[in-house]
Amino acid sequence: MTPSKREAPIPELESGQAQALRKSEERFRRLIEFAPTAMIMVGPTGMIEMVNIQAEQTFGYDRAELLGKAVEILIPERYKSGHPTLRTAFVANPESRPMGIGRDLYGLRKDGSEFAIEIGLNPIETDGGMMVLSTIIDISERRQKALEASYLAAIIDSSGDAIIGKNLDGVITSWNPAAERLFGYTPAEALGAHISLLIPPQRLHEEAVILEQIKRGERIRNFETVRRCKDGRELAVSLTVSPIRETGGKVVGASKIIRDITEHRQAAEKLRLSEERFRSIFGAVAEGIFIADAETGRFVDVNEPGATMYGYTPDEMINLDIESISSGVAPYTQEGAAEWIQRAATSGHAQQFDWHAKAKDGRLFWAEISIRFAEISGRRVVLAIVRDVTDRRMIEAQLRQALKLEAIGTLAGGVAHELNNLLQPIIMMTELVIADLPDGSRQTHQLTRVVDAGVKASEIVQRILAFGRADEVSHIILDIGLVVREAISFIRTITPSTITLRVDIADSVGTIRGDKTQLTQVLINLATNARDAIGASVGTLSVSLSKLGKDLPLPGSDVGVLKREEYAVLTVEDSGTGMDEETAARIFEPFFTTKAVGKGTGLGLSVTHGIITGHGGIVRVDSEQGHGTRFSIYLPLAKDDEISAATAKQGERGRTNDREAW
Amino acid sequence: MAHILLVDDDPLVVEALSDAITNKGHTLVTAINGKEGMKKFAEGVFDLVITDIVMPEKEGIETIMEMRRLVPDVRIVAISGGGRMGNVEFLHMAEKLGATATLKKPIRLAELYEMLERCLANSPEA
Repeated sequence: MTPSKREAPIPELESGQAQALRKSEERFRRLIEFAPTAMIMVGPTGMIEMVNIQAEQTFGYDRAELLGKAVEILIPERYKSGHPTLRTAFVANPESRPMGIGRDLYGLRKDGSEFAIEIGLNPIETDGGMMVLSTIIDISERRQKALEASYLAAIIDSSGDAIIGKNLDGVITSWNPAAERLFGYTPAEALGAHISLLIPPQRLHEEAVILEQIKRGERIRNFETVRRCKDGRELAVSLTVSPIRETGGKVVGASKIIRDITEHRQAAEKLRLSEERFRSIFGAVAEGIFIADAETGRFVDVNEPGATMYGYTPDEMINLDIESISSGVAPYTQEGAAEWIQRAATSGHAQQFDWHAKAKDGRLFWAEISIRFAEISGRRVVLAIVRDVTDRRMIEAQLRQALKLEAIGTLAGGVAHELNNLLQPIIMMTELVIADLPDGSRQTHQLTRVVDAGVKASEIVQRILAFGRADEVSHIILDIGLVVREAISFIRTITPSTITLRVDIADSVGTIRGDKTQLTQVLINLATNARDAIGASVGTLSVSLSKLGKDLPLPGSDVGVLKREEYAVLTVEDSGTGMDEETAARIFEPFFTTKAVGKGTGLGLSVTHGIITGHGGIVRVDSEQGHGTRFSIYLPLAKDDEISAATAKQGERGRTNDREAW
Repeated sequence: MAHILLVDDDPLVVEALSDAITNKGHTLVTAINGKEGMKKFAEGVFDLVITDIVMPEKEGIETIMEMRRLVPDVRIVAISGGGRMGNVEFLHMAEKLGATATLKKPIRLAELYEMLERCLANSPEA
């Protein structure tokens, strides 16, 4: 397209020839005018002689603005001064060549903006001297693309993931440094090799599937598989394969990003195993495991045994707070729990304590709890291991009681033996003397008192001996209302007139299985204590009997829990001095007494407790210093089958038992 | 009148019972423990033996069993001031092991005479 130097001189021709020449010149002129490359003709003095449309558009000038101007108008300021020298040098040694080899060239637009250009210089000898036709190409876009390409290449080169190009035949066409690092093959070894180089034999079938998908233009993302290194090692990898398209959109190959997930896979496996281990421990232990959020105090996770212990499903317990599964009796409240949590938080150590817990159905029980602070997934949690220790506490209490009773039994046995041996001569020798004395004499009367005292003493000894023999009693079906009424008549005789006796016995409370003598003993014992608590002051002693239905909440006690049955509730309440907590906690201990020496044995309530426990019931004491005391006795009512089975054979025995009582 | 052996380690008990028994005209041999009791038992022929249970040297239960072996139809009354081992009542045990009757100390005079009468009722010498 660029006219050559040799073609440039145009000889003078005849008119026919001239016409043909004009036509040819016109054709060239139009060719230059409409060429898609900017063209500028510069005269010997550096003036612009001619520009084409593309030059106008490229530099943003109108033709009139350029013609006759020095060509430097199109050159950025910093190059302007050097330009005439370069131009002179070219004119001195004119030949077609690209301008500014090894240098970046820039053009200056009318609006002052610069752009990268490539210039071809073509000297043209004319009548008016040496002209230079410059062809100018705007290469800013190309340069931008080259820049982007090198940028992408840099990214690929510096990528931590292996990036491999391959064609549709599976031949490797590009191989980045990470690919070399990962697989051990140099670019020289890998390029041109088949991709199966990297695939373990047993997975060769995968490649066909991948290529098939690529050919359809589909992308494969994060396909986890195994690839093989040069040294034979197999790696767990994640592949992302994308089709490479030609400009026309035709798929010609694929780019493959390969990430080594061996470590990731191992870590994930470790995590999975750890989670599995945790879950299996969480589910397998017999203890309840509760995880509560330290901030909200609500449960975020509870294992099956934990939930079962409280009568819930694990899901039902999520978001419950501690309060809702505590008895609520201080210190077993939310505040009480918060104190333990605080203690665990400040000490950094596990805290272990017993807790009075409440199940979903209102049942109360004792739990042994260990809590510790932990952080799970960045969340502060309280980890609690919970064991139902109701049985343990009951057994402990019974054992304590049993040990004391055994000690007392041994002691009582020894004491009884000694005393009875002493009472033997006292009574019998006195009786022998009385036998020798005349009837009705003063001495007979006096010595009879000695015998009476001796007998009374032996009765006391007998009572001490009887202590702890709860196992020898016979339980029969008793109308509890009747037992209480009979005991009341006795209580009246021991109640002074300063004390008002209030009796409230509900109708047909029902029958219980029990020992009438023992139960009467319990009632009289409690009434005596109540009377003594009121002392010389004016007060009230109330005895009541009622029935506690199955649907009513069961009370807790210091030892023992009630089963869900129907109960007869017997209360003995006084308006006396009451007790402090410490005293109330110890009243059932053998030999514990608040009474003056000689006024009480310290065995009464201990015996009461033993008797009621022996009846399958519980004793509860509520007392406040200065406000009196209330003892509540819960005795399980006999079941229908027990009653009918017992009725038949009870007739005579019941009567015998009645005679023996008191 | 009967011939009675009384075994008890408490001298006051022995004295009281001796007075009461001899008052009724019976003859009496006494021993202060099971060992001495056995010796006296072997030396004589008794219509009745009254023995304590808890005694040093040889206690009553063993004494009763040994006497019963020697003289199967001997009448033995066990007496005790109480006491038990675990759930076993000594007097109850004595009865099971061969005592004809038992009496709890302190024994009333009337009780003693009633027992003597009852035990000696079928005695050939009574």
